[in-house]
Amino acid sequence: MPSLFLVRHGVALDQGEWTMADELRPLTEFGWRQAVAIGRIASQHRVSHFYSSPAVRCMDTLLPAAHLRGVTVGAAPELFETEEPRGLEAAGQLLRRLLDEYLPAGRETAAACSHGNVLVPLLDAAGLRDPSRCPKGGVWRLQVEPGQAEVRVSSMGHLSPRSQEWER
Amino acid sequence: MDQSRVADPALGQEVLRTWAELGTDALLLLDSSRQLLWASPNSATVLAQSGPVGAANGVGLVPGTPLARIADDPRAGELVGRALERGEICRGEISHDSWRRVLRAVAAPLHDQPTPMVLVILSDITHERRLSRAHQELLANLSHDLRTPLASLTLLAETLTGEARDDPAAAQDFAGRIAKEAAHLHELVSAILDLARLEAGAEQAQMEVADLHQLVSAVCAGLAPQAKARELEMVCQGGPTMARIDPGRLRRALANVLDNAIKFTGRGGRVTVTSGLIGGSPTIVVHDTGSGIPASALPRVFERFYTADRSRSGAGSGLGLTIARQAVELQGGRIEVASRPGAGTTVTMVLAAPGPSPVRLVV
Repeated sequence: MPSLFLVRHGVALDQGEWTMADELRPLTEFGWRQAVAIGRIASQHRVSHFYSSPAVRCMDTLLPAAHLRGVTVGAAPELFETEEPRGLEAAGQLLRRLLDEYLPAGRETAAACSHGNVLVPLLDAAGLRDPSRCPKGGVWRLQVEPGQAEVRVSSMGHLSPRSQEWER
Repeated sequence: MDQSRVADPALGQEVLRTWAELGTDALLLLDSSRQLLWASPNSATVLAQSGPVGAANGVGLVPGTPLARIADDPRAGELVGRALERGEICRGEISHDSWRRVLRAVAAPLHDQPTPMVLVILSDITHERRLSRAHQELLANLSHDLRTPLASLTLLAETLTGEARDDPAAAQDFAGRIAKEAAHLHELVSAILDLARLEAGAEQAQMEVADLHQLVSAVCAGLAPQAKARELEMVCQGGPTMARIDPGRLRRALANVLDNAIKFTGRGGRVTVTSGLIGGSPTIVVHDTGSGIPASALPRVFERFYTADRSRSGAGSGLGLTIARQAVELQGGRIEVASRPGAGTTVTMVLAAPGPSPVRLVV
């Protein structure tokens, strides 16, 4: 079944520690470890297409996974964070657009990395229980049966800063 | 010195007067309605604005002037208000000169006066801020460029010893990619060290008179396999041209420029390297038929770690042109880039002639 993996960027430097443009704010060392862990998940599921918000912390979260596959990460401006979170209806529209545009044909899979305030309403629109639990470095799988409107969503977990383990 | 003199009020006044005249901080004494009572003589210089209206032009530093006319950031007034209200020293930062400068502001209420007063000390920290920003940008770029290949190496090695272990073709592919990432990392670390040495001024140019064309031909020959692998035509033209150069550094600079030209020129393209005298100066011109550089990116190509597309794997360290410029300038030359998207890029390195009258062996 075709899958689209939604990814929240890894842990980045605090805004207070960063004086340059926010979209250039980089991942921390732990954020890079999360990116490597996400690379493992992407490899297990043979993710072949990568899209990301143009923010450096998002692009870098998918970079190790894309390099492993030998491809680049495509910049997707619609995944850039919004000032206010989208309402449920607007999030549903974005979800449909992502599935239409990024979900590859056949058995291939794609991953899209974005920000918390984009992902929470998206996961809500996809029907995830407790979408507000959206940790940094988290991965969610969206599956759609060909020709069907219904989306199946499940949490794949994240590399936890507390346990330093992949938690589901 | 007689230590008792330190307590002399006349000496104290002279010290303060000298500081107020020569110091780098502007001192403003304000009343409770935030109007100027007194400004230190150096205030006009410290607060000088680059626009047509400002303290340097005689506006704003006469007694009675409201603070809002001296400092255009409303946070200055808020800071003074807080100091008056709380009766304690308040510190903050304000922008000045239409956001072109950053000032550190300290507002200190004076307690032993018949009416409330606040002394405001303003220090220009714009340069400090720019340096800090440049330092932060350098660290962020370094971190990104080192961690990307390291993260890739971790995953490639895991895959090689895991799922690709029993698949010789896949194992071969992953081993090749590990070698490529390691080479990229090696190239990056060497480039960082080279640049650090050049920027520290620790390197002396080893100048000698040498034939430019011979050097150019050798560098082209070294990079010919890379051009061939990318199915590019590389043409090296010109004749013997004597120049006063540091051959080792010039080889490195030219190799970096050529490496870029090869990487950013598509299959079937052409890279032409010409050496000779142009306008009386020994010159190397590298022209490619690649995709070119957008006008907006052109002023930044010599910046450290500048790459137009950060998501590309193995696109280079982003230090090649920076090192090339440092190396060419170290030997008294200059380097220029001209480009148009779709029409390719031309890099020109103008070098020093061997003596007062350059010797040209072949026209």
